[in-house]
Amino acid sequence: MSRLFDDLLQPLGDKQRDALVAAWAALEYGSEPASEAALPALRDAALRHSLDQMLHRTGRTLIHAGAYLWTSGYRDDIAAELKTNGWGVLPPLERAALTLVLIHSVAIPRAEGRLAEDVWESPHPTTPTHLRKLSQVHGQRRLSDALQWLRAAGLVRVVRGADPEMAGASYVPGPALGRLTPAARQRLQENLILAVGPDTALATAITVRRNLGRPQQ
Amino acid sequence: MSDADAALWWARARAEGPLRMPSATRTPAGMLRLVERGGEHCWLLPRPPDDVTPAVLRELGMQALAVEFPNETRRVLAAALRCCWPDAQTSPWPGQLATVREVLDVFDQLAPGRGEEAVHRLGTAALRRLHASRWLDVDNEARRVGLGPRVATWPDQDLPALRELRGELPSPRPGPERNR
Repeated sequence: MSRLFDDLLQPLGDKQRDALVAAWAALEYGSEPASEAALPALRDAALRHSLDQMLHRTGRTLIHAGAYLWTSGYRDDIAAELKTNGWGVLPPLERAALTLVLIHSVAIPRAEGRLAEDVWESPHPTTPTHLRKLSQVHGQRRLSDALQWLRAAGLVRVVRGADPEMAGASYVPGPALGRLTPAARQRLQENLILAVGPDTALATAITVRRNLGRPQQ
Repeated sequence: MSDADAALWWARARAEGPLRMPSATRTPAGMLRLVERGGEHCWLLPRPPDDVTPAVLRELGMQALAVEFPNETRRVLAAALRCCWPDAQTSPWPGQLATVREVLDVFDQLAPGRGEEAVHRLGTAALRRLHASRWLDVDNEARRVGLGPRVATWPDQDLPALRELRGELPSPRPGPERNR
């Protein structure tokens, strides 16, 4: 048994312990958020608190993902440390490809009022035309590899047949985006503004605030 | 090592996969330490509560992140276990090295009739995925395959079924490479 969780698991009876471990696995391994209906440890406030403590010890936190739905994500302080150390940071091409998907599937539809605030699942696909014809990303093969990597990580999801002009897969943001904390979503929203409108007043305000070192976590 | 350190190690392993570190690195709380052949490096992997695996998702009616070409990927992993796990009474990891040809030959026998080019293409792509996720350790220059550190996380209770499966798989047929 794992020493890290001993003091949280040992006092529990078998049934509660199994419920807690199953919920931990559902949150950490599942591709989609876990439902309270299926997992007693998510319904019970005391067990849910223990679950959050288990996650906390591994750099993770419980994230509310809608009515009766939960998932897990990196704690904001831990995400900042990972970034500072360069651990698990997306390589430039993968980051560029993900940014393109977020711009076409989230930022533009949101600016046009077709997608609500703070929603990262999108029905608006980023097409091969967006990715390969209109973008400044060079190297088709490398872009394909980057998209494959993003798919495997759950950061993008394939949509077929969305582009009448070009063959190939289209993409929408993947389920991993649902694992962002509210602070991380806010940071991503600001980064999208900086990416698509660097000369706007809003971008200037974000830059000034960040330079003043106000907390953005 | 403090709790805060353990949290960062766990998060790093979540982000990067199993971590290959110098052997002098202390083992963070709750992590599994696997010393590599040669002893200079070790792998650090998170050890989940009660060694729970993603297999529990099936019981819960949930899905894990999809693996691309899941059938081919599973067959190549099975073929590698057949070739790299010589003594089924021992633990599978670290096992022994096999050649890429041997692994792809077993893979070919598991789903015959696809032609050399298709076996090579599908097998190589699966080897790349399994290497990236550290189920296998593939050295493309030396054309060698070893088992990756994730194989060591196979829970003890699942090993009898794995042994049985391994016993049912065909052996690699003799080929031009004999440089084990």
